Amino acid sequence: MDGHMDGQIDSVTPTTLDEPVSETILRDLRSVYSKLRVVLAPSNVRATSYEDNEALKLLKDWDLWGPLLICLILSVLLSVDAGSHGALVFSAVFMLVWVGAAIVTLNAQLLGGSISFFQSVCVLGYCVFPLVISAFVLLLLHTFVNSIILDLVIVTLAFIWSTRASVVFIGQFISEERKTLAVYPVFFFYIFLSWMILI
Amino acid sequence: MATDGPETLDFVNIPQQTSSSTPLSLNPSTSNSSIPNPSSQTSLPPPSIFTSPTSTISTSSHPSLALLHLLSKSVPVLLYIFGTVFTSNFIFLFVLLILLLASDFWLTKNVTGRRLVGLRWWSTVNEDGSTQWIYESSDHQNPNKSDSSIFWTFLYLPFLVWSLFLVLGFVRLKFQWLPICLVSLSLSGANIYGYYKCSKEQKGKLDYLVKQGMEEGLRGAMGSGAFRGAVWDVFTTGNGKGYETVPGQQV
Repeated sequence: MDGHMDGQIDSVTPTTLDEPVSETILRDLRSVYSKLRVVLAPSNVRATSYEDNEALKLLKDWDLWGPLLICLILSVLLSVDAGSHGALVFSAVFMLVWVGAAIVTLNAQLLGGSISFFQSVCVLGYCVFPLVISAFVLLLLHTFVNSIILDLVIVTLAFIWSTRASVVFIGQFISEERKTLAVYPVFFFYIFLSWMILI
Repeated sequence: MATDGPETLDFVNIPQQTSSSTPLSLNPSTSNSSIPNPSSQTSLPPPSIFTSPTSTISTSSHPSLALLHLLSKSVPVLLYIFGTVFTSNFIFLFVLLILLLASDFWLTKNVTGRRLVGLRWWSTVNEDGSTQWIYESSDHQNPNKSDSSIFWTFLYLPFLVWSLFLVLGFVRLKFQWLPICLVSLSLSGANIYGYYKCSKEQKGKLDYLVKQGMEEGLRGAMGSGAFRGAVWDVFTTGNGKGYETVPGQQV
């Protein structure tokens, strides 16, 4: 489920197939990890030097493993706290993340953006990661203190972080005038997720 | 309609080669015994995994891969059906199933397709952001027959099984299981679509099967007077009065 392939078209003796499975898994894990780091530090993307454009290049190599893991972790975290409705919350959050990402992507594409479907879903999925961190922090926090103000602060911080990261990436592909139009759905998507975390 | 004996009550009348008491069973020693033989001798269907499983796997050129392909598709199905017997933790099952389905997708796309049938599909992203899908087939013209039969059977079969589960889930109102079915359908559907586009040979085989099926069904149906009467009825007045004018039909 990767967007990058070796240039070799020889399909009978492929270069990456002969590597042991552990190497393949490690390669994918490293790719996921580096993307997460890029998401967590999005301020690099605005600079135009070559090293910082690496971040953009990295996100061109979309893969869906990261969003899948993030979505699963988020669903697990949210359902742990939900008590008797755990299973339903889990399925609902899972579907919500994927369907929401798909809708936001469609919107961006209809606005004439030059980003591919899977790239955008990938970016949106990865940018949910700060919200996942906040959900985890909240879970730990609730064992000590049950302050709604603190919850709000943490989730708001994470929400701003996520939205900013994804806007910076998607904004690269959409023209200036349409940028706010494209940003709104992203905004709502993350608001909805934050609300689910708060509840 | 008067009761005129067994012929008019049979909807389809396929000539029986064996006695009617032998059940359709897996008989490993003789392959193709339960499939009605097509009358043409030019190309028999390859030994099916269902009629001779052990010989099919052993004649494959990558037996362990074939078995892996088979297992990676059956295990999620079995887990879906029987998982609740072993654990009451729905979330654990869900996560396990999703991970199994994802790894099965990866396996089919990257490993078994390449090794068993020499086909490959992937996508690249162009500079302007559009996605380009690439379909590849190897130059070897003679894939191992057991390999391809195992591969294609277990590519289409899980899709059908999971569609059935989806429908059952709706009907039984077990909505929390539906995302799993949807995920599985989209993953296996993606694989089917990719490999289908790769393989022209497979298209030909499907056409052959569809034609065979239709011919078999029509041949059997034509032998029954009741069916002829019903078809005639459709083409005449359609109000039931067409019965009297059907040739050979005893009402």
